[in-house]
Amino acid sequence: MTGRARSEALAAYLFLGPWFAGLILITVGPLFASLVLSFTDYDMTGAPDWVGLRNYAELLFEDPRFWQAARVTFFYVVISVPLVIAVSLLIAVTLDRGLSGLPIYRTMFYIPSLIGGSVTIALLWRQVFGSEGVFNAVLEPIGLSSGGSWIGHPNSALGTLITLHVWSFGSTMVIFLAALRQVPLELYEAAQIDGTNAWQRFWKISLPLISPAMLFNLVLQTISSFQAFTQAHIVSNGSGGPIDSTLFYTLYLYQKAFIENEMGYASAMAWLLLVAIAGFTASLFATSRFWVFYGDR
Amino acid sequence: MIHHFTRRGLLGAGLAGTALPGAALGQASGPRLRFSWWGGQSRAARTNEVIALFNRANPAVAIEREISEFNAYWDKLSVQAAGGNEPHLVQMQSRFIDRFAAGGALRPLDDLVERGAIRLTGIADSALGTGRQPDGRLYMVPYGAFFFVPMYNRTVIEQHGLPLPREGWTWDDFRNLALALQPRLPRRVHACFNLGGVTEAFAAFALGHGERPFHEDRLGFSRQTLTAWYQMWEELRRAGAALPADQVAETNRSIIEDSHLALGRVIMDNKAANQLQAHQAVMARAGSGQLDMESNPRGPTGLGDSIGTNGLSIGARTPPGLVAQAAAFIDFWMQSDEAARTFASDNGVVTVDRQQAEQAATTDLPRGVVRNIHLYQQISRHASPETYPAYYQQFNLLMQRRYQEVAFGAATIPRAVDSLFTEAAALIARTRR
Repeated sequence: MTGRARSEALAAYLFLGPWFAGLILITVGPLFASLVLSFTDYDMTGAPDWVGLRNYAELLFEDPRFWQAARVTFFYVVISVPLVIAVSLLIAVTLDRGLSGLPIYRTMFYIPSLIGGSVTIALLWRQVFGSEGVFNAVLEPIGLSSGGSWIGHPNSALGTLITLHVWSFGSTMVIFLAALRQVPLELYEAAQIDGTNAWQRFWKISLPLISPAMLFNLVLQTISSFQAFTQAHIVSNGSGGPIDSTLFYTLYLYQKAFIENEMGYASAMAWLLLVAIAGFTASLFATSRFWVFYGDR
Repeated sequence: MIHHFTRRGLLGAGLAGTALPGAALGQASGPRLRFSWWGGQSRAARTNEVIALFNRANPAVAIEREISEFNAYWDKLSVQAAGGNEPHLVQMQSRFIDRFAAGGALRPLDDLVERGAIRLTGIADSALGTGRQPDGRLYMVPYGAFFFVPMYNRTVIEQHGLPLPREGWTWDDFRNLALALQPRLPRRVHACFNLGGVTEAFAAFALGHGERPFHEDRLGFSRQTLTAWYQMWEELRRAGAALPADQVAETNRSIIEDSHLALGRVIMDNKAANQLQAHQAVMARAGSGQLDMESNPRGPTGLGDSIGTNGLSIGARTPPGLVAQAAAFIDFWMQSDEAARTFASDNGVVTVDRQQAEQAATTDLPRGVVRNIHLYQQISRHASPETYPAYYQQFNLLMQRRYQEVAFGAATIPRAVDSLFTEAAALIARTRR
């Protein structure tokens, strides 16, 4: 290595140093610490006591709330992710049709995804879907609501959180819109000359060509939905109620870690979540070769 | 003109840039005393006034304020304690002190008391006991005694010619009043908040049945008592006299500004007595009447009132340089009569006897504050400050969830009672492990 190359490498490492330090201290270190803690009984006061696989056994075989949290989260992911993908794709396709004032619409649709996960919006959601909320004020006069609380009833509380998630479709939509803009116009023109209709052009041209973006959105949405926390915490006052109907996995993990001080148990939960997310992501990638079309293959 | 940046120059500028803000901050501010408390607008205003009084005598002490509503406060403090980042001055409560002191988040205060840095003059031993832990050490100086009692809209009950709650009334009187009131109320107004899942209200019911509700190693109430409690609330709920379950579930009971009672949506509730004035202030804005309160209804074996305390603690990781400042603040808060006058028993009746006597006799304080003190003096004849077990906070969530199952028809009363006892046993075992 020449002196110049060496000094360039040194400069590069100097600039990368803080990032590496952050990665090791803030991400990798705690990650492995939590793995070790997951095999201990640790209430944050004394030293952790090694308990082997007890936390995992308790979680899987003795804790009904763990399974309730897993059920609620799974239901949330399975319903909300396809809905977000469908709504954002629909809006992206609509906006891609050359509307005038596109940047304005794009910004308007994007804003909810910037604020949708915030505490403020979750508080606003309480007001909108509460018994005295805007939703009831609109539905009651036309006889579609009896004035009950949508966030306070176990049958509808999770639905309001799914609605909040779907409402925050902006970032997914922007990615779809960018992908649609990359599709060569000649393909549409050639298909049009061949007599195809709009649906056929979407199904045969747009969809295959934006399938990499679809995979990207699907992976991101799945991961973030598994980790959803703020909305349920605010809407249910931290309880996951009513009757655990909004007990997201991360909310239960939080209760275990910071209300019950069971850090070892919570660490075990975190690792099970990591495994679940890794499993779902891997299966998405594994199936992608059947439905994702990369233009160069 | 074109500027050429060398790599070394850029790196130097970058490092200087990162160093500068730290240097500037270091120069501008010395160590600051972090003080956290819970409460609404009125408490924040009064606390700020006390801090201003303290700063007048101690201008060098900079106090940084961290304010949250009640539920969020404990969540935040739990996270701070877990990260070893709890505030230096911590507003604490007898119901929650066990888990924070046992968890190593609080500093014992005995050495500061011995040195005279914190004076306990005028505080009864029974109140001081709520700040002590099983190790015998003092972790909280209790400054305010609180108690939960039925609070009611006096105007509405009088309007309908029904008997007002009075000392010595019974749970039957309470139920009959709610049932008699309901048919006279407009749509969407209910005779009482549904207290079926509210631990404080149930604790009063259990005490009235001769059962001390909580022990360190077990629940102190019986299945029969919990069953009777659920049955009473189901009767009231079905009659429309108690707030519907979905509206209860959406309520954050710690936000006074959003209180169903203060906004006129319910006529009776169970509230901390020190909140009477703050509720009345919200009620005055909503124009929904005059509030009052009475001691808890009597059960078959006696009265059900119990007393807790709010106080001040010092965080375990407070640097030695700030411990003296924190102690000076606690001492000022407790012993300055002007500070006590300013705070006006906002978070419980002042525990220092001379200050309490002064506030009970004064005509300068709002009616709600004086009523709180008088009721405390009435109640403290038969109730004394209680200590609470470490599992209390988790039990609150459990109590709420199990009653919700009953109210939403997801479980029968016997099944909900069984589940509560089973889950509570596991909870207590885990807490004691």
